[in-house]
Amino acid sequence: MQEELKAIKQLQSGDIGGLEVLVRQHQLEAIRAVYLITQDRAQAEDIVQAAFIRVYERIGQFDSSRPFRAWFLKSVINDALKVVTRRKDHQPIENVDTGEQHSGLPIQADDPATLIEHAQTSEEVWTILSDLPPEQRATIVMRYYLDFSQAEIADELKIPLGTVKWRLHAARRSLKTALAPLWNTYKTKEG
Amino acid sequence: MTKLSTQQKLHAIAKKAIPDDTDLWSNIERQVSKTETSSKIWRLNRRLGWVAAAVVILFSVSLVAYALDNILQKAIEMDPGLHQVNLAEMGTELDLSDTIDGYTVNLQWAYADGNRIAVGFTVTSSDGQEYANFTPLEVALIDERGDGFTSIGGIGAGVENDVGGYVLNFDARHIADPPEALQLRLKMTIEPIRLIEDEDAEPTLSPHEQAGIEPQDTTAMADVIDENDPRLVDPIGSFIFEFNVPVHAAQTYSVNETQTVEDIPITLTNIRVAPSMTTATFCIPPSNDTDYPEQIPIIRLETPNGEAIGGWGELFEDECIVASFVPTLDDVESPQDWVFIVDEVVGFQEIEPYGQERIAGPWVFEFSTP
Repeated sequence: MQEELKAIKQLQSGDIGGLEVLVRQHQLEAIRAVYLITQDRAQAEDIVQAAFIRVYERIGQFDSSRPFRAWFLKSVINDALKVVTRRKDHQPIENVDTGEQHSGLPIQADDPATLIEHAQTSEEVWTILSDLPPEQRATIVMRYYLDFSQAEIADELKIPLGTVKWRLHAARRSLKTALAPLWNTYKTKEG
Repeated sequence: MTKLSTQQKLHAIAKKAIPDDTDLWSNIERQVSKTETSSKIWRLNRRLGWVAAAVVILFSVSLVAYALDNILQKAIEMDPGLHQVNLAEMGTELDLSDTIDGYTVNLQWAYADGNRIAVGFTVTSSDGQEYANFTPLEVALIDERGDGFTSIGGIGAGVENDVGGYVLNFDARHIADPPEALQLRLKMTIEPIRLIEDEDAEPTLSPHEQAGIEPQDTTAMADVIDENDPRLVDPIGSFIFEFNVPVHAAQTYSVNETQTVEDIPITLTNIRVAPSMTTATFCIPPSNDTDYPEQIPIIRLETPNGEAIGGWGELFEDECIVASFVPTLDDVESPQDWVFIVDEVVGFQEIEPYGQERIAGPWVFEFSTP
């Protein structure tokens, strides 16, 4: 945090070295969050890159008593939402290969249900994310990927807390409904 | 579905698509450099911009000295020194146009004295689109011998009725014995910025705000430098103009006097009095205080009629500063007793808590001009 504050002060005094610190600290999380919303890697990188350049241009307006991470991520999430809304398509842009990459995750190997869920439902989650309205997708990403509290999401997106709860509820219901056939298939096989 | 499992899946998807070695820094650094270059000429004279914006109020009722475009007239009025020489009809009216790709630059006005050269021009487009700005870029001014003049910033009055008005300044102090007139060649490109209102866009800095100049319109005019931004047009040019401009002489007075207060010696080396701007060159040794390594002097100039005017400065050769002031033409033309004062030197910390140390003067330099 101290390093971040120092970087912000550095940048506010015109030293570009401060920007490099901020980029290296926040770029991966930001690109990944935006990617989950836009589902397009190149677009995600463009959005985050433009957001950092905006940081460079407007750092004078930033209140350094506020956490930079939340301020910056809110900005890129809003940018991603604008892009997706303008695109006006909720179709998946590309599918993710959910193969070997997941082996490093903390799963319980002795739980077949978890194994099945883990091996196959990342793709399902991806597909369902694609079908969610952009606002619900952004809310899911903020809550489950960025680990924002519901109150923080409401604050950062400038929407009522009730709207956040409704979006999360609606998104969870969509995810649950979509995963139900898979779960039924597993239970049938078990049975 | 629990929060944890959803979180795991989202992380897995994102990590798979965006590997850990993804790094935007080199692209961002390049882009920022480009942005910096684009706005460099405007930022150079940031303080001049603020001074001009403040003083323009004083000149709100003005006469149109020449048949200049209204928007160019406004740009000139934003610079108090140029405003007074324009009112005194000391500038040269020109009407030189160059059109490239449908964009026309019309060089309408030029002025030169022993401190600076200024050029005023308008920009228009024939494509029927609306523009927010036509930022001048890559500006170069040379004389007939090929010697260049350093750009010291400019002022833009924005775009009105599809016409943009701009003034660019160049340092002329290095000409020891200026000729009566200069044969000049001006070369520049422009970067048009289309006016596309985006209701969703957050209010942000316009190029004028970035330059420290009062914004023309703060509503929904984003200025994010993004290559895919539909507002941006690739730079157009180079526009080239050749013209003559009479030079109003500057009077240079060597003072070379040192005053010491609080063990800080400050030396005033010379004063250069010219109609559009008077400059004072003075030197302060670098700070010995490691806690406050950055230092800024607070200065003023008392003119022969007793008026104290504030100035702004540019550092050169590490220890010396060229401070600029705009006395009235009466003072310039009838110089007598002047007083240059450094009221205090303010030291700044480079690290937290970014404190200040104010060393009170004053360092006073009195001198007379014949």
